[in-house]
Amino acid sequence: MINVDNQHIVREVAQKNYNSNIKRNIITSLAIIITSFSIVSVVGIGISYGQMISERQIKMNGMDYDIELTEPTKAQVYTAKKMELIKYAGVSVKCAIVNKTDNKPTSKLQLYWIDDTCWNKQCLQALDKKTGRYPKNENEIMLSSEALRNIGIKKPTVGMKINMTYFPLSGNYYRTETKNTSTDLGCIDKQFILSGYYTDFTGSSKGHVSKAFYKTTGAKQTDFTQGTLKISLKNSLYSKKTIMKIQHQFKIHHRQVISEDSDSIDQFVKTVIVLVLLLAMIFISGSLFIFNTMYISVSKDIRLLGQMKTIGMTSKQLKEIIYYQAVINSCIGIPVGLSVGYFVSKKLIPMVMKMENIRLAGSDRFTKYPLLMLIAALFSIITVLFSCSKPAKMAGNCSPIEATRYQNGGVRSIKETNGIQGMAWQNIFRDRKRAVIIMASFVISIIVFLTVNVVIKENDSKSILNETWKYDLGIINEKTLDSDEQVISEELNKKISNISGVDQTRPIYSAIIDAPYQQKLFGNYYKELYLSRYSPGNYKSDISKYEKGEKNIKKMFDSKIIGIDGNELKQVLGDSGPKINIRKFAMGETAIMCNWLSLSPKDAVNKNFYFSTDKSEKQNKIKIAGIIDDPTKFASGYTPYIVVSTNKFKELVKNPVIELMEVDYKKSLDKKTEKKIKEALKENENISFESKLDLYNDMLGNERQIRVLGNGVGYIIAVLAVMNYVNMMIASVQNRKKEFATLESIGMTKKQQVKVLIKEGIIYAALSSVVAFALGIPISYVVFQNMNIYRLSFSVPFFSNAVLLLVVFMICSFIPVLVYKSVCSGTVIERMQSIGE
Amino acid sequence: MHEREENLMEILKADNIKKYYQTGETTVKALDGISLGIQSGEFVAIVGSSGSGKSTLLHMLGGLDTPTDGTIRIEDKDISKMSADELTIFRRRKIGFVFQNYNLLPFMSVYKNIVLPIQLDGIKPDKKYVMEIIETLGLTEKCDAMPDQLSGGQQQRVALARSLATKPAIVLADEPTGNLDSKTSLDVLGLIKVVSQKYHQTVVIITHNDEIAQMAGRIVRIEDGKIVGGI
Repeated sequence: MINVDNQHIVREVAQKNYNSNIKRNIITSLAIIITSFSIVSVVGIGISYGQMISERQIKMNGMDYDIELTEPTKAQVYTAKKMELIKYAGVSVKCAIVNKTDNKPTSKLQLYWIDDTCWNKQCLQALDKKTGRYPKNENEIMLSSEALRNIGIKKPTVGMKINMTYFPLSGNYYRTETKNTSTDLGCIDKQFILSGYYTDFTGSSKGHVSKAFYKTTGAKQTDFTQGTLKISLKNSLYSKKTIMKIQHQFKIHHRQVISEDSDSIDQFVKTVIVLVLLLAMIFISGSLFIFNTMYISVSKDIRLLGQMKTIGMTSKQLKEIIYYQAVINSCIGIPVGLSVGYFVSKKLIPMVMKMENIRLAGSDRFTKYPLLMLIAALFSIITVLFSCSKPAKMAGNCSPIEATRYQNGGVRSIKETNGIQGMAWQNIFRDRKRAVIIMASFVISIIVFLTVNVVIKENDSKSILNETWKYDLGIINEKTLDSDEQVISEELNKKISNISGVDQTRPIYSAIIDAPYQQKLFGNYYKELYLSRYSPGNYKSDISKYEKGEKNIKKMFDSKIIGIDGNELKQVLGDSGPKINIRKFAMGETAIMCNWLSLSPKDAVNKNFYFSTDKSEKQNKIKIAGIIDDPTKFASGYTPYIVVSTNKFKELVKNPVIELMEVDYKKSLDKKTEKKIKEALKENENISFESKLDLYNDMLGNERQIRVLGNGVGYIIAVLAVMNYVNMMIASVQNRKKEFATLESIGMTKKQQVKVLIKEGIIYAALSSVVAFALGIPISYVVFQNMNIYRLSFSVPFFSNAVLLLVVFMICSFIPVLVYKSVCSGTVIERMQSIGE
Repeated sequence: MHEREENLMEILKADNIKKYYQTGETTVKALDGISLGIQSGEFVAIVGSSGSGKSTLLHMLGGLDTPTDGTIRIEDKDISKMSADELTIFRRRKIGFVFQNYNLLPFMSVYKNIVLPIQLDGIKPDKKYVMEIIETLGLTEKCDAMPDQLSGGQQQRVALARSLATKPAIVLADEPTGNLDSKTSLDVLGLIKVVSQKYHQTVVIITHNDEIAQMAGRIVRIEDGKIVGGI
């Protein structure tokens, strides 16, 4: 065999063939563009979205750390700073509580001192906005936005003076401060200077003070429940083993605990699996898209290639032609796709966010692109080459005559059907493989859209707040611990419920009650209490004194009676609460006990609880029906509280006082309604609010960013799904140009052909939608549950899915018709005789 | 006399048909004023060399292309004034087409290809009649076969059966034997002649082959877009 130099002619043939099929090659390039674009933009924006969600979580926690050690000693702090496993260890001490500002009662505003490590390394990144600086001087204070709201400062300025009354938390404060052991005793008036203020997403009313001030309070970091060591680990994915190791090095005493999130690795793995799954689906959808378009494109050339074989082109040369054209399409499609993807992620999205007048925190919000673009490019080129391989092999290997006879895909006749009626089905499934590929690509894109939509909804602040907050507004009686004054009266309750926009109010009554020693009910509980870190002292000695009814010990074991109405009962029981006889509860025959420490239903349910109210000698008895979480705000003694119906409460307590009123609006987060309520209560100094709307407003800036990113990903995926279909339909209709002309020649009108195309489109849409929803909803459920850190309830985002469905049907029906109209112009004979596109 | 007059009814009348193409500065006159009449039941062959305009003429007569000028009447209906859909419907009912490269739908069986034009009209095919045509054309055993399972001759017979299924006013065949060997060509032509006589079907074929043209009842010669003989 003589080697001849014919590369240039092969390339020339390839180039000319490419040029004569411009329309077809545009379609192929478009498929590559769309796939490359979607990988870059979806992954790029998706990563930013994930980062923003993670940041928001930190802001909702108020601090960025992994684990914490309670009541750390100086030695333990030193050990922590030296430990290999630990990146940062910052000390935080609760040292005082403000109860008045400018002589007006203040919702218990907790003051903390935190060291430099804690502030700089663990706190700052958890703040959304900050003005000013951390307090340096003894008379300086830094307050949270919630604290400022509570003390009525609407326009804070650095340097402003604030007069506060506080009591220092020196000694063992926990559960010793009860009603009427007045906080006026030991309170200190002080004028503070506001050195700074900040917003986080904790919704808690707190402030920070200087070390100098902290020292004056007498509080210590080793005081029970006051000091904590916030620890950031070098590896945030810590195991139980790591914690044990740290615990061992700290040599903790029996009251200390290390609080950790035992689910962190589990959660991380679940999140990674979900992300990999989503990414895989995006990649598969894109690859099917390219594959199908390339396959149609190359298969159409088989006859031509067969003809070339008849005139002497070798198999190798034919393959070269196919690959050469594929490479040209890739060289056009990939850079364009990557550039557009980069532009959308890096320029367009930030532009949209700035149009929302959002402050973009951080200089570079988005992903590192070079690696991502390289991956996208490699993926696209591999898919393109893989898509060509089969037709290239066929063209290369089959005999010339077979190649000239080649029909794209296996042709099969469907069973006897009425010509036009069955034609749509026939057309779709005559090449089953191709039909499956088209639908698979479409279905996967729709599934990804459904899943991403569910994830976006799951991370929507409104959804989170609506799920994690029991009410829209909590109205708190700040004098609950101090007096029996009717700060929130029945008239006020009525006034609030009559405000338009208010759905319901749920007043929660409370009163301190005496609880005598009760072995039968609390025997196990007392033992567990004294073994726990909350142990009040010596078990034997205390219990013996309690049994005898010694005053001080008895006081320590005070309880609380809480009165709730039917609406509140529904709230506290929820879906997973104890199953109790509602009628008996309403009649006052039973009570529900509040959860505390290790109190279990086994110990309490169906047993009698003895107590007396209003400091009388008369003992009451009530049967316990179940156990729930405490719905109130203020603490009492060590005996678990009981919850009774409002009527029973009023029967037992002479002067019923509302501790808290929960308000639900007809429309959640309703600004107008909240404004009306606050307006109605503005004169009342002894009331504070817990507002879901205030917290949501604090989160709004961050929320908008998250939404732009999340919705950006959602829309791009939706566009991918639609473009996927559009491109394949364009290719498909283009390929059938001759077939349509033939049909017209034997008498099928354009109208009839359009009808068949619309039917085909509807069948594609219907089948794809059914499969996509049948698979997509369970998949999105699984994804949702694996990422559901806020324990939200699953719901399908109906509106966006309905819109998608509508768009799918419209696109599937109309696009083939539009393409048909543009492709089928010219006379019948011109179209029948056309060779290239 | 009356019967003869009926039998001799003019089924197709083309009057001064012109087809000009503009390519840059040049005007190509594919047809340059052709007038032609065809009687009912006639078997006419239009003969001409390559590039004479015979295929162009056939496409005009069948409504597959539009003339630059002139009128064409089939069963006294002016097809040159019809809209695209009207023409398609008319073609479905009144004109049967046989192409050189058969133009069968590859994804439909033989039987389905044949009855498709009838079904496009929303009519249930007269199975007896269709089977008669199929039998006449020797395709009985091939009813369920796919086009790619047939030889060229068989495919052309299917195309012929399809053209006859709707009982059209006229069958137009564009080089029906162009892709066939000589023996098969004669077979197919023979069949065309048989069905033309059996069903009193008006048939017009285009050919460049004089020998094939001799099998027709009348020969019309065309050169350079004009009829030069046998009107």
